[in-house]
Order: sequence, then structure tokens, then C-alpha cells
Amino acid sequence: MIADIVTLVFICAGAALSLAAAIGLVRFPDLMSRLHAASKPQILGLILMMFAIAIQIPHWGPITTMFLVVTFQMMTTPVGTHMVGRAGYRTKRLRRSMLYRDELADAVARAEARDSAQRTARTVPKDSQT
Amino acid sequence: MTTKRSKARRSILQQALLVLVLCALWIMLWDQFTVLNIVTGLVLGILVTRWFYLPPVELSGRFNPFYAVQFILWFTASMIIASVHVSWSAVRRRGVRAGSVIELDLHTRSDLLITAVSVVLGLIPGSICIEVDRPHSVIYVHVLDCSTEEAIEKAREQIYRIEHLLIATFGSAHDLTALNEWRVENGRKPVLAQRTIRPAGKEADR
Repeated sequence: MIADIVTLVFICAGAALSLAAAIGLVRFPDLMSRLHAASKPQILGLILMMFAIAIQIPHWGPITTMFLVVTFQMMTTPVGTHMVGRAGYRTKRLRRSMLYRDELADAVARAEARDSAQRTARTVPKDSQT
Repeated sequence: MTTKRSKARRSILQQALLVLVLCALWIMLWDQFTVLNIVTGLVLGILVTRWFYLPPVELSGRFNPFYAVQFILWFTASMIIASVHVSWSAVRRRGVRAGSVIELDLHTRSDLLITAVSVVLGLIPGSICIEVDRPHSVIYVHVLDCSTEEAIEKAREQIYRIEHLLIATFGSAHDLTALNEWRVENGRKPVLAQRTIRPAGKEADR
């Protein structure tokens, strides 16, 4: 009985978090914010659902499999979001109005200034790869 | 002399650990703990590490269980709080305000720790690592709904907290020294001071 109630709570919470992730994906205005919505609440939702299943089927087989599911989800999602965010930033697919402060742009500007200073210092100008 | 040998021993130990982890993964995938599974798991582990050779991960060789537990508890709590927060900002009326990209100069120089910090902050809702400057170990993090100076400072504090806990858990002596120098400069207590690199004079009597 108690196990069933706990399962119910976990499944509902997990479903609610996944739903919130979906809503955020639609409602958030720009790429970066959407990445947050798409990746994060959903992991906790998945973990809660896995806990719920583990309570209902307390055998080693399913539990170890779910452990793997959660582990790989936790390892791959940040990498995926990082790659999308990085590509989005580099191809300038971002809304400037949705950035209060951008310290990466400052760093890029500094690096470019340094590069051009080096280029002018050399007698033969050479285009760099990037 | 001995350092070379102990280094070789350590790398063999690391390889063995990797193969064991792969074997455990194999057993978990099959859901059966049988001799055949263990043997095939070990063989496959060795083959995979030979075929798909990657540059070895440099482990520091130390692990502090006290800080590991502290890290796991803190991580779980902040993940739950932040998940609820992001979900709430998805459904509430006003949505989100502008975010910020902030620059974090990490104290560690180890690839493993930079990766670990980026992955952990990627798991805690509200922050994603979008760019890494590996030679200077600087990471650039996008923080959701962060349009005041206080919010930026809070996010910075949180990410340094991740780094601090991870270094205290498995960082090398170098990383601990760098972290403690920063902490002392900022008027905080150093952590695990006995584990940092000793001054040059004391090195001889070890």
C-alpha cells in the first residue's frame, strides 16, 4: 500500500517534470533557454520514474538495467546540450536581447584583438585557419 | 627510479579498473551473474580497450569518501531544487528574463576535473557549459534567467562550489594547492591542507 503510494507520487512527479520540460521547450524564447528546458527537468523526471519502477519490481535485473539507463542519460545529456549550445553560439544563432551579460563575447573580442596585433606585427600577413 | 615503477604499476591498475568496470557493465546488460558472462565481459573489456584506444585518463590517485558523500548530497539537493525552479519558470506567466554567459576561471588544470565540473553543472538545471578554453582551464557557462548582478554572483558561487567539492573529493595535490591559495586570498578556510603540495624543503624527508 505504502509502496503503491510512493510509486504513484514518483510517477506523477516524473511526468510533471517531463511535461514542464515540454512546455518550456515551446514557451522559452531563444535557443539557449530552450536547451535548459529540454535537457534538465527531464533527467530528474526519468530518475523518479526509474525509482517508481524499482519499487514495483524489486529484482536485480530491471534495477541494474535502470541504473545503466540513468547513468548513461546523466553522462550523455550534458555533452549533447554542450555541443548544441556551442554550435548555436558559434553560428550566432542566439538572441542578443536574451543575454544580460556575455563574457564569452568579451573573450572572443580580446582574442581577435590579440591575433590582429600579432598579424600586423609580422611583415607578411597570413590568414589564420579559423 | 621508484617513481617510474610506481607510475607503471598505477597505469596497470587503472587499466585493470577500466576492464573491471566494462565487465560490470556487460554483466548488468545481460542481467545474469554467470561465469560465462564474467569471462566474456573480461575478454570483451580487454579487446575494447585495445581496439578503441584512447589516451589514458589521468587519475590523481586520491579519493576522499567524506567529501564524496557531501558532494552527492549537495548535488541531489540542488538538482531537485533547480529542476523545480526551471519547471516553474517554464509554466509561470512571465516566463524567463534574459540569461547570461559567464566566464569561470577554474583552479584545476586537469582535463578530468574540467570535464567533471562541466558535466555536473550541465546536470544541474539552469546552467550549461557552452565553451571550454582547455589550455587556460576557463569555461563559459550560460545561466538561465540571470539578469542581475546578484544572480550572476550566485551562479558563479554555485559553480565554484561544484569545483571545490570535486577537487576535495578526487583532485590532485596540485589542484588542492591552487584551490587553497584562492580560498585563503578570499578569506576562507583552506580545505584538506595536509594534502596539498608541501613546501620544497620538506619534500626531502618524505
